[in-house]
Amino acid sequence: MRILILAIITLGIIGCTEDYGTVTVTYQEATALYGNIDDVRAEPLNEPVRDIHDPGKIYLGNDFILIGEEQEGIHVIDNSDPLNPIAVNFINLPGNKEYFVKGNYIYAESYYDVVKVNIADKHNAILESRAEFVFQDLWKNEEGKSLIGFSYEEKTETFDAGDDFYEQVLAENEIYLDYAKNIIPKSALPSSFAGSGSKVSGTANRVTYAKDHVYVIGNTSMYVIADSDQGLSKVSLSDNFSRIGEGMETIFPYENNLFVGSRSAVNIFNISDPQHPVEAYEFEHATACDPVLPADGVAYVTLRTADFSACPGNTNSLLVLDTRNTNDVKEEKEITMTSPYGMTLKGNELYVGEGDNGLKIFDVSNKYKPELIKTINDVKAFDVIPHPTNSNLTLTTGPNGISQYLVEGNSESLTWQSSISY
Amino acid sequence: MPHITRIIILLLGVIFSIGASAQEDNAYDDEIIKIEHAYHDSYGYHYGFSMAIGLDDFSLDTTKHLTAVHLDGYVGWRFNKKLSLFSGLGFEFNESRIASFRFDTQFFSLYAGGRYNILNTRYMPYVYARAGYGFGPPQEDAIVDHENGQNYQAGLGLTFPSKTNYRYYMAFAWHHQEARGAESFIDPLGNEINTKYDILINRLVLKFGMEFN
Repeated sequence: MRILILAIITLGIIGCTEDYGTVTVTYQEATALYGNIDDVRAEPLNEPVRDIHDPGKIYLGNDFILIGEEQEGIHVIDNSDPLNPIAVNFINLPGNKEYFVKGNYIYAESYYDVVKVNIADKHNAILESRAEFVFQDLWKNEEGKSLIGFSYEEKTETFDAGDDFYEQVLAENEIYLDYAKNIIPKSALPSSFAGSGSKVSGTANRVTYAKDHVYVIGNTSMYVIADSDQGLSKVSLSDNFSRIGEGMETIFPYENNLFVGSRSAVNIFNISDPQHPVEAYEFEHATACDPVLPADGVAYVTLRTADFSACPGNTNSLLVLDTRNTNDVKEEKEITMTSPYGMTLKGNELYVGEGDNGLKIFDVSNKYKPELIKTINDVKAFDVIPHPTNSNLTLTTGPNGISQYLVEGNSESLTWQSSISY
Repeated sequence: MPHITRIIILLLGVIFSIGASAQEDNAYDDEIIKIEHAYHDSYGYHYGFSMAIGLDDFSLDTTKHLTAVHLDGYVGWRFNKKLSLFSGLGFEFNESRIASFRFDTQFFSLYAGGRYNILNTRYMPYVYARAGYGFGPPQEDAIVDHENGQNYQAGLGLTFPSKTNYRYYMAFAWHHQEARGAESFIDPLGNEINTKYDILINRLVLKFGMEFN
């Protein structure tokens, strides 16, 4: 009898590790785009001005503004009158998400390639050079079609417990995913500054320029492109070096070093030999999105996480690192923040965008011990940067566009001047 | 097999067990239970704690493996040599898979239940059931957001004999936890995947514990 009872109960409970229910998934459906890569490269560079739909990287020149249109190109805005900025050109760069500006040149990624575009004449950009297949060799499907990128569409679907939709997507598209890992992903910031003038670089760039070389970071790899009179040419790095980490997001040059921010660390690479970066130090931190701003012997790092965002986690803070010895970086201070994004230095003040939670200004007279001097709640700032020539102007990127503010007194107040909405 | 079917089967097993124990009760009644409560206490206050792990933790298939770890403590009252009631609280971690998405849930659980000793033997088998509520962790510290939900557990156990005031026990139990929540991932292309789920987590767990008079 007892055996029978145990058998019945055992039968009843065997195989119970099975969950029931539903999951509603909102995701970006990526559809492969096929075409002739030579035709894509041959598309006209200058196109009529168009509306801004999906803004990406923003560059602030002395009298102009560049606004990236994700996957499409760059809007050129005449900002000689900050009260009345006017769109004057659209530079067509298919697949582009990230770029860097050095003098009169834009260095931008475009699908497989890195291009150098002369913008001395804002109305008529000129392609100076193209380094082909920097990130990936030409990928073709079974039908011989060349993959040139992906288009994305947001979808929401509900699946039952037994549905293996996601597993199938991963299994059946492995080769696409390998390709995708090599191309340059979207920035972790909604829209951010590539730089301002020739001296101020943005803190959330994936492309930068130092010592006549362009440096580009993907998720796991660094790419180096030499810029010479002969044009752009890819520098071959050893596989061991080129795949240097996981979740790389930002790169910032400072003196002989590149500061690379990844989800879990800040890595410092010495570029005394610009074609052979050497890792000097890795400073590990909590997993987060982390723009890095190096300055004289110090580096400020914002760590941002949020539930249901690209940066899940439970850390929101401003780290202050002592980088006087780049082989032995020390954490000096950690300041609790709400949702820190990009940042910039303006004299002895550190501006940190807090997204929907405003803008914080720190006194960094003692650069290792920043003191909060002001929180401006009515300025929604993902990123912030000073105007390159007008020291009274500060620009922010926010949920609704770019805004220009007049800074009065000792950053006592920011008065709105104009906006470019998108 | 729908989970409600399993509940019915399990309850049938309990009923059969009670019937069988009634037949065998007399044979062991005096020897085991009533000699100064030598092996098993039969009346009054008791308390204990346990750790349970999901049987899937032993799975060799790492791609399908789902972890479950539960820790809990309880206090109870024995009304007689057969029946006791108890109440307790615990912490429960369960991995769960829905539509090939994997979710981690953590709950602080508050529960109450009853236990029925099937046989009066030195190694004393018993059945038990409990029902309770799982409270999610504080949201400000949560990477994922999951809401509170009911939980219930039923199982078959064995208490080991002891002449001291404590004894060991083990049990196989069937654990359920309702969970609603949301979690975001970054897919291999670097895009966000946002999920919302409404699920019933089912786990067969192996439980080890210690009980004190």
